[in-house]
Amino acid sequence: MTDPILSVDNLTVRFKSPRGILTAVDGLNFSINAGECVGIVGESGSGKSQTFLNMLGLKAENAEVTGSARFLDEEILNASPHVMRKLRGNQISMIFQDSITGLTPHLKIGRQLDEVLIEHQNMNRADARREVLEMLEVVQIPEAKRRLEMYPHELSGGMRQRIMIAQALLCKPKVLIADEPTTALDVTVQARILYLMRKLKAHTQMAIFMITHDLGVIAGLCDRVIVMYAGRAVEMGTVDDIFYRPQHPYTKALLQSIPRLDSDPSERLLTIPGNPPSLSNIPVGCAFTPRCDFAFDRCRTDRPLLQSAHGTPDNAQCVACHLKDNAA
Amino acid sequence: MTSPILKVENLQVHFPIATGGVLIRNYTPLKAVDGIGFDLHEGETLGIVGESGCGKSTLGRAIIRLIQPTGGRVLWLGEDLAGLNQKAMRAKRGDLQIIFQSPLASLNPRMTVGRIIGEPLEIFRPDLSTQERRAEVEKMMALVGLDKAGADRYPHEFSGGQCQRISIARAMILKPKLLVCDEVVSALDVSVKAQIINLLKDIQRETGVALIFISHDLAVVRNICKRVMVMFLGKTMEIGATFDIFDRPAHPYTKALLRAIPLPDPRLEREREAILLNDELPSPLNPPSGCVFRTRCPIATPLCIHEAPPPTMLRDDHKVACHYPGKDLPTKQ
Repeated sequence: MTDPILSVDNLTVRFKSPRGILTAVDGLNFSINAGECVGIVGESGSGKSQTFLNMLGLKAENAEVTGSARFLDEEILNASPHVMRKLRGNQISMIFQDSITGLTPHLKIGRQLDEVLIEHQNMNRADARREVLEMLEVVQIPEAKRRLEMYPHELSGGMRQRIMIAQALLCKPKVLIADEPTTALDVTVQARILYLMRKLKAHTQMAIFMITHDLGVIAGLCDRVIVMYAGRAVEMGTVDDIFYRPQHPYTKALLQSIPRLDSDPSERLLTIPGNPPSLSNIPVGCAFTPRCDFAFDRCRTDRPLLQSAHGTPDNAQCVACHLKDNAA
Repeated sequence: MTSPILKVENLQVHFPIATGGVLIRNYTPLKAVDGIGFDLHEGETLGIVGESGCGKSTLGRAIIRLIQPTGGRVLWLGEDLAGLNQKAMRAKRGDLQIIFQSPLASLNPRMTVGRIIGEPLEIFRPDLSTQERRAEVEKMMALVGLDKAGADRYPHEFSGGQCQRISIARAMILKPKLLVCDEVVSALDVSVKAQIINLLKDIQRETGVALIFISHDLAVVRNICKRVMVMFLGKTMEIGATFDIFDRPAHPYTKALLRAIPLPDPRLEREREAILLNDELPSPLNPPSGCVFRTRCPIATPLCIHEAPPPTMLRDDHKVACHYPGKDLPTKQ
């Protein structure tokens, strides 16, 4: 087996706030190989975005980040801003949900894209422009030359999102982090972006993290999935493991609570009672306990650790639930 | 068959948009809703789907006259709402309620939840005493699954899903006959979304209220609606029973929408073939000639450029506006 391109070990993110210390990410471990797509699923506040923002050094002033994140055997967690600047947008790129705030409003598209290459790869403007045009072809922007002279607000949402993807891909990053890249888009536009990402994944050896709450997007794109709840990974496995053999009660409930196109509409949707917990008040033990139908005494006191679901080591399916021990 | 409670006929909402220079002011109409018509029966649920900018929210608002329609008729129990004066319209508002997408933004942050839910009664039922009103509020809170202890708290103390329950309680307290739901579950988390969908279905079963359910999420619409209307650029592309729309869609736009939804099933996703539409949406200020969908349509022909397709009845209550209804679309692997 090859070494992972990026591995994260015991990553924890805490915020100091007037309400006390909030734990947004709590002891997360994962890794990704070249050419792999890992999906991160969770509801709002589950820590899926915070994991990656803080890993890349894009942290809030009151954030405290501990643990380790190794990119190609180099520690990047809490590395100097200088080192991170060289890495971000070059070796590791990120795409955000909101394409209008992700692009600078007062610079022409062309200038914003050229800059990436001039800054990171020491190219001159003419070479940069040539590369930019090639990249716009990859992301299927029609009339690319004309678009480069436009400002972000002149483009449609789907077009802007593809510009952002092009910007992220210009330096041929080894890792791409896509944070809800299609959530704000219409379905027909989303279909185009996902089609593009599938093609990129097949043709380059880029590793992709896909952060989303849309299980449909995960099913179509990812090889492996991490399910997060209240800052913790509650289940990990291949996409087939998670969708066809989910082990954690939260994963199961999540899959059953989504309205689907192939289910009987007269059936009631299964719901998860209650709401996701507030970060300042995460339950002791398993964070899902108050909403779990199967919770028992131990869940209220002991925090379950993420461990292999079938007693086999390594990349296999892992789950953090006490029920597993009970069944065994 | 009973007569419909709501009959929308050739409804138009055109917004004047200033174009031209400083000296010569021209106004181009933006046709947000352009000739929409449908019937709604008592206790029925009609889904209105379409992508952003297709006019579905404007339509919802024009029906209950939060926006003044510029043409057509909205017949509510036989009476045209579009022609009523302010005072007469206000008297109807108790029957016609709406809930919006952002639950927190639609609740007054300075009012307690109990007051928010009870406010419609203060206006429409001034004969009720404070105690009677309070009792009604508590009944409503129980109906939507809120603890009555919450009545003295403020909206910001509640989560998004709970705020949406408060909005529903406020809308239902006057026992309306029509409830317009404008993207009411779009901002909610997956696990909370299902709770609100089930709640709306329960309320409808218990009270017999008719729902107009506006959403861009087709899977949600399929779960909650009996009939569905698909809109594009202010016009109806297809309307019919949910079963017909989802299982035998006839309009290329409906087909493309359905095929574009990612399915939460890895095996199906691996096998599926995408239909990719040209994603340059036409400008509503300058809509394409003929069929408004033709610039995005994979099977458009010269006929579509010259002639707008008239609505064609395919079978009972299944209407489609396309020159080539049911024709297969090309796919990409």
